[in-house]
Amino acid sequence: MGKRKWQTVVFILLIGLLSFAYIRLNDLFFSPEEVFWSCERGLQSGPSEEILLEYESADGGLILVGRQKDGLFVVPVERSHFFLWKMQKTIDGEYYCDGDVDGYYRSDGVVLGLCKNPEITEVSFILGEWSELSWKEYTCKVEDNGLIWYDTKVQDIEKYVNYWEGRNADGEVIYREGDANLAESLRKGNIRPGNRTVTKPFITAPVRQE
Amino acid sequence: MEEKKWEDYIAEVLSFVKFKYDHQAIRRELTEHMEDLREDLMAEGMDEAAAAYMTVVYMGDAAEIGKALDKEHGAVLGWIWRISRALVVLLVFATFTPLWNTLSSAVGNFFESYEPQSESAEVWHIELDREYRDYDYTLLLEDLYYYKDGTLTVVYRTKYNPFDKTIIWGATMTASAFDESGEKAFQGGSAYKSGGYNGIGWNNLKGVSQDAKWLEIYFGDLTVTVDLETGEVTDHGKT
Repeated sequence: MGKRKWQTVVFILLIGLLSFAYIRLNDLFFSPEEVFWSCERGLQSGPSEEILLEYESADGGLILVGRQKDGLFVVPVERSHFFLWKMQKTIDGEYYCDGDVDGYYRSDGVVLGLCKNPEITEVSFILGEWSELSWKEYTCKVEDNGLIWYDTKVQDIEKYVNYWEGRNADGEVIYREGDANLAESLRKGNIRPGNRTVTKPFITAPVRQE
Repeated sequence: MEEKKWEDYIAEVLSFVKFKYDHQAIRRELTEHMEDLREDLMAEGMDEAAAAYMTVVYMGDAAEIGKALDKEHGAVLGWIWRISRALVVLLVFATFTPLWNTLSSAVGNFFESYEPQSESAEVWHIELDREYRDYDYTLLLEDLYYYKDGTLTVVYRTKYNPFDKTIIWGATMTASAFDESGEKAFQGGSAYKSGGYNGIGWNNLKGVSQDAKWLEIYFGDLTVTVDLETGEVTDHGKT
């Protein structure tokens, strides 16, 4: 019986060793945050100053958004083996945010961005589509940590953000980036949002107002 | 008749042993022991039937033996032993594929060597032989080749700890050649990198002019500069 006791001890040691090897070789982690930091290091990026946001995406994954010096680092993670976490097959990775306000549209319908100007408290952006003439304007508050997060509820890989506008606490526009003429036309009703009908030609050249 | 007695005796002994998964082994052990005893008795001159009968008598009280065996084959330890053994088998199978992939790629990479990237003659060759660390990767800059057709090739390897907490990606380097005025002195390029531990890679810059003065190699936060006239190597960023 002593033999069985020793065998049990050896088996338990082997379980620990093999579990460690299995977890490490399959890139499994005990928390979503661990996946985030490991992914960032693996891509020789960051480290992010902090993880600004964790949200559940429409496809069931958990999206972690970290803030780097000049942008965002975004990693979608999912549960695995009941209690472990792993990276999803594709990740957003590093997103360099240009200017005071910048961001991008994720295929889960969420627009993620970063505002580097603390005076800006609210932003508007126009969501466009690559292949169709379709635009819609959205407005959202900027989080205290500079994060811009808005769920458009529109899941379409063709979408993209083509205009940003930042306003201060008094509602004054203090930053513009992108196609300002499009925004102007959209607000005047020359382009009906979302119905893919252009009623008046507009200039598409990007205009940036300092 | 005597066989039935043996069976009854063993069944009675086993009725006291709670850990049922050991019953077969105990039955085998008891049967072997009883057969040995019967043979001893027959060797002493007893006939087969009498020896079989006396074997059961000599074995002793079935309840006493059963209780002793139950203590020896404890159910708690028995279950732990059984479950841990099954887990080991499961984990060996589960770990085999990723471990094999890691080992086989490491072995394959060990034997993979640089293949000349130009059919034209080699003009010069610098042995870089430098090792740098960036995040969890080790970059080994091995050689720099310049060919007559203007191809400049950097040969390198990357290493990492496969058991580290880092999710491993391609870990590739890029390079640019510059002339005296700081303008890019090449017209394009191509690259190759084998994955896995100790993967070899090379980065080819095409159309590098003769007046190219230095080469910059980028790997994560690291920049390594090679003076193409003197072969002197300097590095910036993480080392």
